[in-house]
Amino acid sequence: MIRALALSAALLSTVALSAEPKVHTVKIEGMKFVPEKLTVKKGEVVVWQNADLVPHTVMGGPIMSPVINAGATFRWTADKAGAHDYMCTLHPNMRGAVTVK
Amino acid sequence: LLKKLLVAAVLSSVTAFAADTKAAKATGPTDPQIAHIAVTANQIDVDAAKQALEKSKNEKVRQLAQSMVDDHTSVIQQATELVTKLKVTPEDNDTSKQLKAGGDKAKAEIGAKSGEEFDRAYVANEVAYHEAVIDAVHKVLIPNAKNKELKALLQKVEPVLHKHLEHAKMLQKELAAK
Repeated sequence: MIRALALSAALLSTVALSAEPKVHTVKIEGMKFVPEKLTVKKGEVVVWQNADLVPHTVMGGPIMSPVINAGATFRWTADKAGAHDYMCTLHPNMRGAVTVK
Repeated sequence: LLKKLLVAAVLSSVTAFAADTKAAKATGPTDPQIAHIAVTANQIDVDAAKQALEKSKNEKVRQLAQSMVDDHTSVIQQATELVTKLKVTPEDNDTSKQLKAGGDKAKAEIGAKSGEEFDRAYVANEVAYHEAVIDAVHKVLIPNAKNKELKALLQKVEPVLHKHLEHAKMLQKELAAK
């Protein structure tokens, strides 16, 4: 009985460990990153969702997206700690930042 | 003198456009006409940008032109998808015709120049053209659009045009300082 309990506890903790990391969404809308600034924990995921009519990019430090077409998304795992400023290389003055703690 | 002629040509096409948009507002363009005007206005800027990509050697001018091709092509694609879904057939009209004629004229005049003179003329036209189009989208196309989805699409175009204007103005300043 005790053994069975211990086993199921072990199984549960395995499930908890392999759970999906938290996902944060940055919407690209109205030629802006919303939210412009975001703080996440190391290992979490940031998804940029392009809700604009035109293509964008997300580039800065360790974040290097391909061209994200209208309606498409870009997923990045925050694996490097620090403050990462990024920009859209296609549109000047379109900036954002992700801080990874 | 050439510069003055160009400015006059740009101004006259913009004025014609503005005058025409006033006329359109009085009668009110229909949704099929609005769809046609939107696609035409985007296409004119794509054509102007393609010419700039052929002629300009300035990296920043080429970057602006490439953004214009990519962005306006993307807008046309989504506008086309929407009108297809809505079963709206874009209808040619006087505003579209005047826009097209103005675009062709500006393209020919700018295309006759070369080097830095071409770069400055292209960028100056981008500034004037986007200002005129923003005005038309804001004051004529959006208020007259009946279909909610068409109106929403035009509202999404506005910030794109503002960003393009900002980009072109920034570059215009840089080229003037050279």
